[in-house]
Amino acid sequence: MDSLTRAKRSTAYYLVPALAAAIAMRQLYLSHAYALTPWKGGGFGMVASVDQPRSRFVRAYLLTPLGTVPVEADAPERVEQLATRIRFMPSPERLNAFADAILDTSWIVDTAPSLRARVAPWRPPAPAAAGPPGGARPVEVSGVHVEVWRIRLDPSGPRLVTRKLTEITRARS
Amino acid sequence: MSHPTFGAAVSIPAGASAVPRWGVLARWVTWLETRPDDERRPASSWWATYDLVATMTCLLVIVYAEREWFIRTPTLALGVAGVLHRPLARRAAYWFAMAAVLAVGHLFLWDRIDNHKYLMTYWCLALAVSFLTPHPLRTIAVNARLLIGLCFLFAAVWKLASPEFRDGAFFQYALLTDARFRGVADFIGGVSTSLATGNTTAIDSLRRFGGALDAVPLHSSQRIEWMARFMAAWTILVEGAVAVTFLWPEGKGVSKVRDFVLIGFLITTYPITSVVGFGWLLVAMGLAQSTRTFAPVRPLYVLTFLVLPLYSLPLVRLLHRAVE
Repeated sequence: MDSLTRAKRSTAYYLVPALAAAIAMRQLYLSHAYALTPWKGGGFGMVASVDQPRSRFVRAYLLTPLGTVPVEADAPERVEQLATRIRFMPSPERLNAFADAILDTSWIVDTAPSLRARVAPWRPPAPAAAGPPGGARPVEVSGVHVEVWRIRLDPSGPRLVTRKLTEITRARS
Repeated sequence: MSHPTFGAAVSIPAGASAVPRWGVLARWVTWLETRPDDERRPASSWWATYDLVATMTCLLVIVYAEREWFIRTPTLALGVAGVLHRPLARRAAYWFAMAAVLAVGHLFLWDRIDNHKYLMTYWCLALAVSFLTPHPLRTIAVNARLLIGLCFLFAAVWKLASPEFRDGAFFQYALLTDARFRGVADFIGGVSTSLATGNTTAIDSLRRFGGALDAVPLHSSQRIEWMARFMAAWTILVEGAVAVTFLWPEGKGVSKVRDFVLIGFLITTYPITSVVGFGWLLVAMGLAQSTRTFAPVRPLYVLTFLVLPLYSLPLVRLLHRAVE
C-alpha cells in the first residue's frame, strides 16, 4: 500500500467528511421541504430552534355524522407510534399513513367522565365481557383531519404561541 | 503489537506529495493535511495517544450507544472487546464492524437519534478507513479535524440562520421550560423552581388536546432575557470559532489555537447542557488530531474527558443551596 496514489489518499482523507456533509445537506433539504425538525437528521441543527420534537404536537379529528370529533384518548399503539414519527417529520407519506391508521380503527364516542365528546377506539368485546361502554356501537367515520402544530416563543411577554405546521384531510376510500 | 504501518505517522515529510494542480483549492487541500508529528518524539508516543483515543471511543460506545437491542448488544460486545484487547482497536476490520452496526442501526432511527450519534458513526467509519492506509495516524487526524470543523460549521450556520436563536428566544425558552437549565434559571435568572414548574404546566395546557388555548404567558425575568441573549451570542461565537480554526489550513494562523478553542467550548458549554456523550466524542476526536500546537494540550483533553461526567451533577443547584 506504500504506492497509494494521491487519489486513494484523498479518498481516505475526505470520504467520511464528504459523507457527513452530504447527510447534513440532505437534512437541510428535508427540514425545508418536509419540516423535519432541525434537531434531528444529522444536520447539526440541535439547539438552534425551539422547534424540537417535544415542542410539536399532533391533532386529529374524525369526520362523523355527529360532526368533527377530536381523537383524544386511548389511541392504539400503532397510531401513537405514527403520531410520534409525524412530530419528527410530518411528510405527506407519514401523514397519510397516520390518517389511514386512524381510519382503520373502529371508534366509539365516549362522553364520560366529561360531557365533551371524545372518541376511544372500539375493541371487540371479550367472550365473557360486556361490549363497549354504554353498549355503544362503532361510529361511522367518513374521513379524518390531521394537523401538526409547533410551539414558538414570542419574546415580548414572553409567551408561548402555537403555529400550524401542516394539515391534511383524508377521506375513507 | 507490531503493526505493519507502525511509525508511519512520522515517516512522511511535510507536503512531500503536495503538487498544487487546482490552484487555491489544491493548496487548501494540501494544507488540511496534518503536519507530521514532532520527529523528536518516538512513534510509540503517538500510538500511545491513539490507544487512548481508541479506548475513549470504545467507552463512549459502551456508555452512550442507543438503547435499542440491535445497536446496544453488538456495540457493547465490540466496545468491551476493544477495551480489553487493545490490538483489536488497531485493525480496520474492528472499526468497520463497529461502524456497520452503528450505521445499520441508526438507519432505522435516522430521524429520531441525536446528531452526535451520526458523528459517532462517522468517527468509527473514519477510524476504519484510516487503517486501510499506510499512514493511519495522519489519516485519522485529518478525518477528525474535518469532522469537527464540519460539525461546528453546520451548527453555526443553523444558528445564524435561525431568527429565534439570534434574538435569544431559544435560550429564553430553554431557560424557562427545560429541566436541564432549571438550576441556572433559578440561580442566575431568578426564576424559581415553582415558577419553572408553572411554565411546564403552561406548555402542557397549550398542547392539551381539544384545548382552545393558542397562547400562554411564561414566568420570566429581565435577567433571563439578558442571559439568553448572552448565551446565544456566546454560542455562535465559540461554535463559529471552532469551525474556523479546525477548517483553517494546518499550522497556519488561527489553526494553531484550535485545540484551546475546542476545549474552551467543552468547558463552557457542557456545565449547562450536559450532553456528556457528545462531549466525550469531541474530546476523543480532538485528541486524535491534536498536534504540537501546545505542549499541555493532550493532558488537557484527557482532563476534559474526566471532568465532563462531573457536569451531570446538579452543581448549580447545590451552589444555590449553599449560597442560600
